[in-house]
Amino acid sequence: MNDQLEKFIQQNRQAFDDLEPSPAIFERISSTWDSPPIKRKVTFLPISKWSAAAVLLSLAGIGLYHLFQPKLDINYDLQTKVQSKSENVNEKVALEEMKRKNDLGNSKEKGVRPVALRNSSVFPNQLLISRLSNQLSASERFAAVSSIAQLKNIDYDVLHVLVHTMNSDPNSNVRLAALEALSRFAHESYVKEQLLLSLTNHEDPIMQISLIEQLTKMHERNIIHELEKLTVDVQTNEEVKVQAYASILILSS
Amino acid sequence: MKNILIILITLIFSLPTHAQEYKLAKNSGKLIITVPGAIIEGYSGNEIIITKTTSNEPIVVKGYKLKPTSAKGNNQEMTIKGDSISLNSAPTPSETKIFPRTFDRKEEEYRSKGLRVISADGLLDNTGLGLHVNDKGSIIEINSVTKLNLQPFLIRIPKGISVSYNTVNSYSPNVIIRNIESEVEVSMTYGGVKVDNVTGPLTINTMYGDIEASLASNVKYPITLLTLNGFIDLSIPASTQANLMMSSKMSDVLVSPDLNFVVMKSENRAFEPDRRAPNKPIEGKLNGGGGEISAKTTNGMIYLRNK
Repeated sequence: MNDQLEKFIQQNRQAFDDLEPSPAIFERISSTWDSPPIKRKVTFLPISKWSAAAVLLSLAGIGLYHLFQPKLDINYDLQTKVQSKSENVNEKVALEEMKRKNDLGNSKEKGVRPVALRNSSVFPNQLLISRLSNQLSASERFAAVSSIAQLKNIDYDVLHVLVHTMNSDPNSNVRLAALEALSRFAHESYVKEQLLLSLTNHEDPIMQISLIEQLTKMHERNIIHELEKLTVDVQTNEEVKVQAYASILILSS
Repeated sequence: MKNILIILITLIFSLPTHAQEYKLAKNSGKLIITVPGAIIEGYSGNEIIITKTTSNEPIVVKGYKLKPTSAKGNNQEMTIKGDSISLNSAPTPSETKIFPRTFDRKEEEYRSKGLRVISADGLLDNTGLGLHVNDKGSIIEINSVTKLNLQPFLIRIPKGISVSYNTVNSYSPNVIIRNIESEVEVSMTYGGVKVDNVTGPLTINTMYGDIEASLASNVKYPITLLTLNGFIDLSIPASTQANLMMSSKMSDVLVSPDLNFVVMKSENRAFEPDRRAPNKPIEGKLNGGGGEISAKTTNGMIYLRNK
């Protein structure tokens, strides 16, 4: 039975195929054929350009880093040496300027021996300066300052180092000795400046007293204001206040 | 039976009391101590030994007495009782024993089990004595970690180690340093310094304390003693050759007549002070001159003795 039905359908296929879709449907389909398919914009190329550039740059950076890194290590010492030399030169130039402005020959203080100052740094001075930076032994530094105090002629280099010692040596004995050594050259304007600066910066009572004493001896009236501040400040040591009062009296007269 | 009991009891009482110790093998270098309260002694050995006795027992330092300081600062006095010395702090005339501080030991031990002391520098106790010892090769630092150590430490060091004692930022009692042949550096604010049988070089400064120094026969220079409020008492062997510079702003300088000390006149001085200044430092030569000894004080007296 099924076979006969199947046969019949197969023989009369055309007759069965009588339904057709409406023309509207065909219209719709054909309208899509006319417009070209929407092409996606190809942005692939610029991105690749930028990424290529980025990769190149990073490679170049890494390359340069490695190129310069060992160079930095090797040249480090040279660079610092060069830097310090130039620093020294600048300081020397500045100090020599000051020196030229100073009157070496005239000394306003009676009884004070004028001390000649030399330009060049002599080897023994370098030795003294290196002893001044001995971190392990305070007595070495003290001995170096005492030796400097005995010198008849002194270098600006050495003066500079003395000022640095007076301001920042960790030991009070050494600082005081540096101040006493500097006092011999108190007529030099550089030293005077430094003593004035030191007064405002020091908090160590022993140093403050000695500085005030020294500046009073030099009749520096500029310090009166600073001394008044010290007398009013609660933190100031009693002994310093006593010295400050005494100095105000002496200087104001 | 009774005899055995007596023997047993005497044996128990004769047992040495437990003294905590810390040892560090070191033969040379610089020792930086910031522990408030220390007695530093040189001895012939190869180790740095730090001793702290238990709180109920005084440190035994034979034959020594320190005068109380005259300054506003610490009034600590050590008194000798027979062979041992106990430390009393006497701020008022009546004897007030401030240390050893007594506190409930059991409670403290119970509560501190499993915990450890820490200091503001982040240091931990690595000695068992409340101290932190940092061995950096040529520099050894001893810092205090606990605030509860009121008994001074006895620190014995081998010859060849130089000492630097710095308690500028803490309230410390007098320090005693003796029998040392290398460099001694002391910086203190409130305490006084007693230096005994040392050769130098000495770099000592204190603000409110006194300095008492007694030098051994082979003096090494420079020797510099600096104080603001205290007196300076220096004993030197009569044969020492030195250049002395002594200056006391408000008080006198006293010198023993047995010393061959000659004051230098102003022409010979290294610097020229102002003639109007009432105080000039006393510069002179002892036995013809030699190394440098400098003593400077603002308020106190200076005593120069023949040893």
